[in-house]
Amino acid sequence: MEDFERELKEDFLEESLQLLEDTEQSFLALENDKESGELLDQIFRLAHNLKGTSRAVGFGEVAEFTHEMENLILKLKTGELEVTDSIVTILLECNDHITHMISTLKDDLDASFDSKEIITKVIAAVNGEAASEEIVAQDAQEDPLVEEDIVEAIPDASAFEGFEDESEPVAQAISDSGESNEVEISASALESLRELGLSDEGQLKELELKVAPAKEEAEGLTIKKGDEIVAQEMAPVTPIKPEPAKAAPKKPAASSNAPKKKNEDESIRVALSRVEKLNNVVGELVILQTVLDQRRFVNIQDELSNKSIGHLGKLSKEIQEISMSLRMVPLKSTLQKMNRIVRDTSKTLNKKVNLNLVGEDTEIDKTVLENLSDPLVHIVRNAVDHGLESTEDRIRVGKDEFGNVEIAAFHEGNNLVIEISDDGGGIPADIIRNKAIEKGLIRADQKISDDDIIQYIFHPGFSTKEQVTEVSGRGVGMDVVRTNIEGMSGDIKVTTEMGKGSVFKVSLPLTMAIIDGMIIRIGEEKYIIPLSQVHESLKPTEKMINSISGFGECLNLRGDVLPLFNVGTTLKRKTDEGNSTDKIAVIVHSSDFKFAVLVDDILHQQQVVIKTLGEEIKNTKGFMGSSILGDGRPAFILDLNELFKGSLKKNKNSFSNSIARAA
Amino acid sequence: MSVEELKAKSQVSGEYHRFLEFTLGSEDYAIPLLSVREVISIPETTPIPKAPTHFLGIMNLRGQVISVVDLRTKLKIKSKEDNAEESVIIVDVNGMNLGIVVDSINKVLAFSDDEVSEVPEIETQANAEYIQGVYRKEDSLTVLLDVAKVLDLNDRKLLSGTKAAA
Repeated sequence: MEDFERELKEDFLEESLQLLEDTEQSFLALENDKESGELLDQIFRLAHNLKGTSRAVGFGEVAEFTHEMENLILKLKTGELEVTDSIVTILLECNDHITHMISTLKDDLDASFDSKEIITKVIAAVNGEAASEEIVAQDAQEDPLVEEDIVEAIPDASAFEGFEDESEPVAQAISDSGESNEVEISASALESLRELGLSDEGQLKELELKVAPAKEEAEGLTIKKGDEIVAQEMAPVTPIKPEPAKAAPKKPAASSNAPKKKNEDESIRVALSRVEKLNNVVGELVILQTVLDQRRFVNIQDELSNKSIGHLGKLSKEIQEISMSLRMVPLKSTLQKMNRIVRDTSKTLNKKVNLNLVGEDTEIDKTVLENLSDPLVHIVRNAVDHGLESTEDRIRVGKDEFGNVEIAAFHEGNNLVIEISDDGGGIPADIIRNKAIEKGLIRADQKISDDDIIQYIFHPGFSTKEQVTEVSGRGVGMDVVRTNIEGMSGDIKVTTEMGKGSVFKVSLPLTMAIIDGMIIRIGEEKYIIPLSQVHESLKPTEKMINSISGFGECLNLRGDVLPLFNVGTTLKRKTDEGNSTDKIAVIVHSSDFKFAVLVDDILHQQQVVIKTLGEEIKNTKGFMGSSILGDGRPAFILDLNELFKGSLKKNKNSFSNSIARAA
Repeated sequence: MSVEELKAKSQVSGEYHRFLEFTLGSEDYAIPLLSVREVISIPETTPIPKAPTHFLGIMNLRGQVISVVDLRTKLKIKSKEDNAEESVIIVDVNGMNLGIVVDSINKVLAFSDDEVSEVPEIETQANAEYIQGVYRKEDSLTVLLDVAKVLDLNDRKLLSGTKAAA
């Protein structure tokens, strides 16, 4: 558990440094554009994120400080305070302070900080007082304080300097015995030393130079017992070996290095870009094989060739599977992070919660996993805070006083599904409805089913909890969750049953490099629609299609009236002759609107490897990328949401109004 | 202007400039040899919706998807009819790969500065800004093109224009 915790902390520190870089950029941008609500939203999310995760991994001081900062940002966001240069300065100072804390923590996980001065300053700013010169002066004194902490945290470096001199006789003794494998150990010890950052770099280099040749010879087994020259080379190096053992207990960060070394044979670290390259090339291989396969028995009559093509097909499939699996990592570490989150959240809220993890070994693409952590934290925290009732309430309704939260991960088709369920009170649809009406998202007389209405909790700024707790309730969580998940071309849905609990279902593509595509035809051309965007497809009958003058056509689908667009017309491509009933309608559920598009034909479904478009056409809206089809020709992958976003926005208000009137 | 640039470059690279000469319609053009990645026959292309007309489409170059541009349409030159020599030059323009359709590939030119003249100043000449210089040999003239200027700057604007419209 200790090792595991340390790993979590180290991961967090890496991530947060990146986050801080982002916030700094946002702050700087804010200074230039003080009116931008979008920027403030972004900053607020970043700060919120930082607060959440730092608390989760147990850096209370960072979380406390970030909470103060968040308060300030919230005031700016709600307009209670105006963004001024001095405020931005304070924010930047806060940022620096956190960066400072994080980088110090990186060296020493147990470091503590004195944030009083800067907190006073933040609070002063929150209360609307201008930062006085006095506080600034105080702040200047604050840095050395922390500085001292670091110095203390670093183990006595002088011990090393002394050690070298003493080491000579010991070295001599060891070198006499000529134990060649000692050198290898000291090479890794040297590595640890470097990671500790204790020794003078030049000195280390010198040592390393001496280690390297000796090690090579040892591996080649050319070393002879008592060989004087080799022994001398080893001499200054060997005695350092015991030192890291001494240093390790002082520096928890370093101790994990030693066991890692032993595993070098079992796993290697490879840059993701290399794996991606491999995947691309393998993708090509598979396409070429398909081309060959199609000519089998038709253009190629030679039996051996045909047989070989068959074999090639099997092999290339296997290679593709292996190369795809290189990117896959188990969900375990991310899911286990949730243990801590549930524990801490429930403590803060005084709730009793059992967390149940199912399917920890389920694998997912590395890039997807990296982006998954943040949204998952939000959902889990929300489940504990909003989902579960308080212990008293639970007892009152006759439930077990322990609330249950379950995170289950499993594969469903080509998706990874993570379900976060709680057995709490459920989400009251009417409260959400009222809130949505109050916020102007829907009109009071609009008919929306309860299932649909609760999806509104994913709208920006939508929090039904009145008081702001430390844990959640500021209404930033859920929309970030949705944005993040949709960014991975995933999907999130919530279902709820009053009194029984709610289930958040997150579906993610297993990989972002390959998607399931529906190959459609428009005129003579083929296009790909990501299957994730397709809700259903059907052949419209004359009855279903209505023309509303001024809006174009719309499709009446089991009582739902959806705007109907023609993909070919929008793209200005030549389409098949004939009217809408000769074509096929694809129903798309975008995040805030449903619509239908007409295509000439649906050819088939297949997995496609996404290729990015060149700079010269990258900016064209409506294309997700391109892919190469089985015939070797490239085709565009359409992003229907983006393609019709413009038309939807234009039509949305007037459209839904007119529909309501019609209905 | 560009002739001076060329001259400055030649000081670094040596005596001669090397250009790949090709034909568009009945005119000879050339681009710096170093920007040429390879020459291929006309590939199958997939048209790009909403793109300017000279964007012929995208093609599959051994797994890489790149755009193919018809310089003849761009420069408003009438293409040869029944032309079996039509080819595509894959060029590297500021780090991105593009295919350029030309009527035929002629040869590699090597020439020194004295053989390059400035673009004659004609006010109404629409193409002048793309032209780096003119190489003359005996009776024939070869126009030295700046591919980046022919395509890149203008078309990026055009495409971001479509983006705004979409």
